[in-house]
Amino acid sequence: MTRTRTHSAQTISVLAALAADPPRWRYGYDLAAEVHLKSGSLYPILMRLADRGLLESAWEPGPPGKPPRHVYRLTGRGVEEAARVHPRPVHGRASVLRQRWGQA
Amino acid sequence: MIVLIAVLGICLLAYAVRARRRPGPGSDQGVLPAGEARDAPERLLAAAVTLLAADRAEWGRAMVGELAGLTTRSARWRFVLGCARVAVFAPPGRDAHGRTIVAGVAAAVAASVGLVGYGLVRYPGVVTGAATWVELAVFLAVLGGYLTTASRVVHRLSLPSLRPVRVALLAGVLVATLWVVVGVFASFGTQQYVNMLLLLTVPVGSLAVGAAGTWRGRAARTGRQAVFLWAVGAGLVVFLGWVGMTLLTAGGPYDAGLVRDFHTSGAPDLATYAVSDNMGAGMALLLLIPIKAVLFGLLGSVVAARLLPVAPQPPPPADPATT
Repeated sequence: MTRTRTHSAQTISVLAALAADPPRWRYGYDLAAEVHLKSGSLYPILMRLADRGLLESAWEPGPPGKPPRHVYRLTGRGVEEAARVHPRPVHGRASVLRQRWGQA
Repeated sequence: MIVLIAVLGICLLAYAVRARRRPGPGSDQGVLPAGEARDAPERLLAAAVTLLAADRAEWGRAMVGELAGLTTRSARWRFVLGCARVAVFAPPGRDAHGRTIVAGVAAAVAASVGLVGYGLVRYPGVVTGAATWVELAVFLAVLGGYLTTASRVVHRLSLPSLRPVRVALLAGVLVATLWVVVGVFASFGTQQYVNMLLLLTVPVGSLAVGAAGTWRGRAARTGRQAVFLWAVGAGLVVFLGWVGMTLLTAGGPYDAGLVRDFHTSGAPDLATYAVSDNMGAGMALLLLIPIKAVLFGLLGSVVAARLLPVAPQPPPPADPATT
């Protein structure tokens, strides 16, 4: 039996941001800036999404003298999950919250 | 009591300094460019990611890589402070292991606090002034230290080390149990002889844990990890047994020396005096038993490492850019 999980508004905003352009690899900091999350909130969300197989990551070589950077995108399951919890891509936490508020 | 606390403090400090020098599983070594000057946020992040569990080490490297892309000072500080929070409170991974060990220690710590709390409510005369509250504060600090120690050791456990550590802990429990059973039920003559055997339970069990952990894990580090967990567990179990029995029997049986001392103690009644005396002894045991266990456990680990073929330490993780 498949368990249906609920997501926080912040997680939904991250899923929505990643689902806007699924094949594109995203940097963590850019993602955080887009959904207005601090690193302290973003990384736990990314960790949980990765743990559940909804997010894949890769290493992108950095410029000379700089460390490699981690990049992220949704897996196939992640795209499905994003579509399930949020049928239309929405950018920003505020709009997600507005939509949730409207559904309540 | 103060001497004991000082000894324990020095041991913990030495361990912390040593652990600080040794790169942890979330270490940034090999990720940050060598020879490049680091600013304060970078140094803070490098220290913070060492707190991450082994299965979260890659996330620590991701944070370090992300920081390198930030240029403004305020953005770097905001990013690093958020990451430091994650490093301390990161959610356990899907494959997080050893959580039952930490949960067990947390339960024992909670039970210890509960027992002492019950004792203070049942025997309010135990509280004699500010000194009692200071002792209770030290007691709580020690318990917090044990929980932190267990959590840190488990945090640093790699998955392949978990099984040997479990085997070592089980071996320690079995050896200690056998030792107690034989000591209590076998006929060795005088009661003093039996008491001596019981006193040796912790050293014998600790030797077994250190040796079994090192032998099964094929690494002295695994043996040491098992020893620290064993030491914390042994201290808590002895404390719970001692204080539990004290509260069940109201500090009895009362020997002649106790009755004699009671008359000059100013305690309201004999039971309160006995409970207070035993709870103080229990708190001393809470410090002494782990120290004893660590000393003998490390001895067992050293002996096992010398007698048995132990594999060299594993090489550092590969550069993530190449994986």
